[in-house]
Amino acid sequence: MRDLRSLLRGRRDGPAAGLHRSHRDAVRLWGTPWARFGLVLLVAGWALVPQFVTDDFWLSVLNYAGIAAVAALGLNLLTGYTGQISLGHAVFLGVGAYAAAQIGEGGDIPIVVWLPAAALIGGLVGAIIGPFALRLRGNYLVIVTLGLVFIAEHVFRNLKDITGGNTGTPVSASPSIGSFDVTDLSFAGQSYSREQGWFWLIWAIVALTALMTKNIVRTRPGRAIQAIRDRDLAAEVVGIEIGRHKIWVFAISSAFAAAAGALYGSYQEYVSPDEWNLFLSIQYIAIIIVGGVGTVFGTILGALFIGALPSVIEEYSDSIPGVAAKAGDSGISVYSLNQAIFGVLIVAFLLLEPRGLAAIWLRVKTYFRTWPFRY
Amino acid sequence: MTDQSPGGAPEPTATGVDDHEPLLALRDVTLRFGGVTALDGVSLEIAPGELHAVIGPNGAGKTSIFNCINGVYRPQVGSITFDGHELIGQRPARIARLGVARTFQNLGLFVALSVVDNLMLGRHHLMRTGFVSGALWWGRARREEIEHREAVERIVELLELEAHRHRPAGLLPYGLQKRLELGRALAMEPKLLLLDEPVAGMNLEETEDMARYLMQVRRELDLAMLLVEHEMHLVMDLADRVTALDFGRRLASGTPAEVQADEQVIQAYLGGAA
Amino acid sequence: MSARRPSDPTGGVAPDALPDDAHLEEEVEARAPSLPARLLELAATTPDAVALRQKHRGVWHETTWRGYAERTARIARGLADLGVGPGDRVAVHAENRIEWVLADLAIQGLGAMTVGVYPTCPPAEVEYLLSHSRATVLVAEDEEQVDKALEVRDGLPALRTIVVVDPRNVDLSDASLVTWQALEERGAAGTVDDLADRVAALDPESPATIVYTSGTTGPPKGALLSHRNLRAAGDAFAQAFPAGPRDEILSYLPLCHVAERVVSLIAALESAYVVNFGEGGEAFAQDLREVQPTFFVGVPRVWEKMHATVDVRMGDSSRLKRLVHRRLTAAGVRTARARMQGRVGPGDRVRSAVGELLLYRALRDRLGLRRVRMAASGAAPIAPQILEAFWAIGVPVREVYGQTENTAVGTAMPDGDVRIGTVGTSYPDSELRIADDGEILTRGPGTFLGYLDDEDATRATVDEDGWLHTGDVGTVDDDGFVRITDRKKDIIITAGGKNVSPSEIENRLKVSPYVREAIVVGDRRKYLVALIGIEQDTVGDWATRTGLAYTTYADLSRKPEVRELVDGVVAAANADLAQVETIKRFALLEKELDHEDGELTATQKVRRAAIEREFAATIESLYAGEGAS
Repeated sequence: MRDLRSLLRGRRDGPAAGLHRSHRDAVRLWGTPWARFGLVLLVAGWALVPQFVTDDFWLSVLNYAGIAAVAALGLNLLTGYTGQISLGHAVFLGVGAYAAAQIGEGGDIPIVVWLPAAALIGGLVGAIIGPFALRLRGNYLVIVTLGLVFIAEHVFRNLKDITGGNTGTPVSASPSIGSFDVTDLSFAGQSYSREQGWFWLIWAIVALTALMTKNIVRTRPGRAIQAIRDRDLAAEVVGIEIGRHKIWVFAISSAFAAAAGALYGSYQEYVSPDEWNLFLSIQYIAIIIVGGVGTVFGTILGALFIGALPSVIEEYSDSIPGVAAKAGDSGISVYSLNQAIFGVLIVAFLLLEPRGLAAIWLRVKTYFRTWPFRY
Repeated sequence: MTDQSPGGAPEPTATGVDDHEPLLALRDVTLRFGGVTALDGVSLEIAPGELHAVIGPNGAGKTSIFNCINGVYRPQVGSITFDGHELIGQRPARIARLGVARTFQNLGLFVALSVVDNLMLGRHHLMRTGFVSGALWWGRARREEIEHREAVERIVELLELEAHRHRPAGLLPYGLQKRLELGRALAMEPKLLLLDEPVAGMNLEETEDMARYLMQVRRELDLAMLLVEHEMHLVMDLADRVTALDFGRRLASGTPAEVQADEQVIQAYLGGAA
Repeated sequence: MSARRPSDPTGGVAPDALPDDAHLEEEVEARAPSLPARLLELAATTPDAVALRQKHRGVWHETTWRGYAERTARIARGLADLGVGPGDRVAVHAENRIEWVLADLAIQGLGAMTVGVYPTCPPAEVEYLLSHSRATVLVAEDEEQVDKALEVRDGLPALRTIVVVDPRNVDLSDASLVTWQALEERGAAGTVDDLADRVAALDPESPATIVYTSGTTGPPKGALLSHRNLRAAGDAFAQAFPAGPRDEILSYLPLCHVAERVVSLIAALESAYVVNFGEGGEAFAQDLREVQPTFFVGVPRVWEKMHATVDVRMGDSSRLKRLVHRRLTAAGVRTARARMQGRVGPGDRVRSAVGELLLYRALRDRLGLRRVRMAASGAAPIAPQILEAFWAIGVPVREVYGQTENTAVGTAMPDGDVRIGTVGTSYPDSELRIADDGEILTRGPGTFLGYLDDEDATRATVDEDGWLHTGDVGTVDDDGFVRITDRKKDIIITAGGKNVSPSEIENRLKVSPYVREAIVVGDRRKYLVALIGIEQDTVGDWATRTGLAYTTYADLSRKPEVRELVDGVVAAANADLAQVETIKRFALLEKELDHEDGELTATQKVRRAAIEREFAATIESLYAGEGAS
């Protein structure tokens, strides 16, 4: 607050903002008053979105994108920061969704219980599977996690007591704590819609997971996984236990995915095994590639972009030539079109902008930060 | 290292380091890759605080010794004891935690990370923050970050890296990268430092700087060093003792002057050059 | 700055009477009579305000005025314990750091004299300074400086103790060595009151410090400056540059030089602003960007270097950025001229605002000058083009003129009436006039006590009427603005009998980012020639960009392409110069000039005689086969 005031007053004397007077200053995440000011502006601006976008469809698009961001942050820890490519991410969303369905059944259990519990279960499953998967590197890991998707689909279809089998299961876990229910908010005489309530909930969770990711990345475990990514032999020689770290990241990544799955289930109120397929995993790969491998902000951008894309295509399928809007129409289906678009996007970004949207953002930022110099 | 070994007192070292039990002892270490013998019954001892150099022509097995000591390779025969622990069969990370640090001939920096982060990684095994406390930040993670930043700043000061703290390691000039790697090894607070050709590829000025830093490190920090180096001036100026290798065998061992005068060593070098 | 009248508009005759002595005395009485007294005053009036900041291991540690006084008191007591008393000399051999100013004030507080030694001084020079000043205690920064002193200790019978600030790698078994920390502990009983008692006993007219002038000829001479001199300098400087407690500076020029002493200590105590000590060396640019001082003082070399940096880095930028830079700096120069006169019209305001938004602020930020509201250049003449370039981006650099012997109190450019090409006007309490032979003379409270053990030199410098002979030749205009022609002894008289000022021509050459040093030669010769040293950074960068491979400085200097580059610079300079002033031929120096090799003074000024001697053959070759075009 104090520096905001001095910022606005435009003081040009006294100690400069970038002057670290203790190591506490040096380790702050938003080190300068401008950075803090920008953050406040961004958060406040985003929180105001449902005030202006009240249309349920568009809010739902943003809500799905937010859920995707939570899971993608997990995948980016694993793939972007640790360098381990996994196609099994969808499985853990499924685990989370079913966990929420079980724990939150009846809708009386508060979200602060079922959501962390679902994450924890996802994390545990990840920790159990991790040691098998992570003994392998590179392409082998991709193939093993691919196998995981098929095994899990089989399990989801047959574990009828929990998953409801092929027909799926309703999820009655509700986003509420006691009588406080985000789907039925009213404040200062104004009441808000279900979609508006979910927006704030989901995006608060996005902010929280983003902050946690950022914190992991800038502390000991985060440095260690980046060291493993950059040069695993050297990492081992400085005393980093590679196996342990990989398993931990896999578990955390799975926990994030499970939390996203739980939110997804509760938001849709129904899930079926068809949703946790390879295509969903690929969608998450697309998010981090398009957004930016190894960046937190990029992941969120990628989730907004990729997460919103299918809904937008579906909404406007009528007006896109050659697309079948309804079953029975001629042309390719919306589903196939989505797949094709993700494929094209992944290839295009890998070729043209391997560091994703975040790199573009970073370049813009650098352009102004170094202006009028080049570097 | 307080207790004296009763029998077989090790030979006194050139520095006059007390003849305590050696910090590191390789005995008859043999390492084979298929039919190739990289090390052939090599024995070597390093006293606490000693700077021991290993010299020899290319392919003499110098780097193999390092890889055996820090657990990257597993020799088929022999023993390597360090500070009362048998090292053969241990994982590199465990050996690092016992107090063995190392630099690489071809640089082992984490190029995408900053100078400070590279140095902080040296302190990895001295820190405790895990994924959960890291994610929460407030409390232990923050306290530990601050505490170890302070420790890292000592290295920054010692190796004069002040102007480069936040540059990605990969963007530093070569000489500075070598210096940073030394810094990362020192940040581990090791008892033994393995230096694999610290001045390889450096120009004269950078070499002199590195020699100065190494001498400073010796004076300020209490650690033993095992140095593999081609640059003979550096070896002769810095080392307390020298071991010469050729084709995985030990040719000679002694003070720099003794080794330099050794017939076999001269032969190996001249022969190797011809 | 409120209206300040030029002291002597006639520029020739001295006022009929000396300033009223009694009145002056009274005024000085009301003020703290010495720097330590002023420190105690500030410690009493604003004890908790920040006085100093020292960057250590990545963090800027703050010291308040109270802390400043307390530490000074402890050091003073510690030094007293070592036997330092009134009249003794204590040398300080260190880079800029908090211990420097603490030692200085403690020494002065004891009635002893501080002798600053340049960190770059080789052992022989250290020996000369310490033996000439008969220093009994040396405060040495670290291993390097301790080694220098120990190397020459046999020639220093007076030296009893060496205080080591940073004892890493120093063998402390030598009984004459004591660490700074031990000294401070030893003086732990020294309270501020204790210091106050000692300070009260000081005679303001007694010497407080000996500043060795690294003369461009002969051995250094020790100028004795009294407590009163130092306080007068603070007063004068604060009038020209009114700063306050929220202002910040970075201490980075050598503290043994009177300029940085004024900035980091004398004026800092006067105006109570915050002095920052950074990590220095390679990290200087970063220190500057972190501190973002509001007040910045540089020597021409510093300004030239920054100017060159901008030039080179702009060269690497995109076309758009270069275009914006070119347009806006051109506009900036126009506005700057109006601003120098204090006449800023609405058009200027709009231009400045646009420039500020698009360029100036950003450029200042990159240089570390974003918040600079006052700036000064001194110690040597600077090219007008460089000054204008900084004014253009909103750094109002005003020239000051002074020398050790008048405690840097000579002239200063008045705020709001900046006339480029002059060094401004004299200070209110001082006088300035031009002698018959054109030499500039000054008189006032800054005039020093004399040279240590050198009556003859003192008499040759200060005449019976108290006028200080500066050794500079110049003129004063009707408004009292002083224009310096050159050092008296440097004036070149060509074979044709024309007087030429080499430094003006040299500065014209040094405007180019590619030229680091230029020495114009031509006394009693038919034409002028120049020895030119290239700037390795910029020329190296240029070479890299044009795909020219090189190994060393010498190799780079020998390249015909580089010669061609410098040829262009010389031709451009010649175009601005009168016929007799043009450079007919030049040679590129194949080594970088150096203090340790005796080519530069410790303040990086060229030692003309030494260079003409060292490069005599080169110079002769430039005159071989005279008549070349």
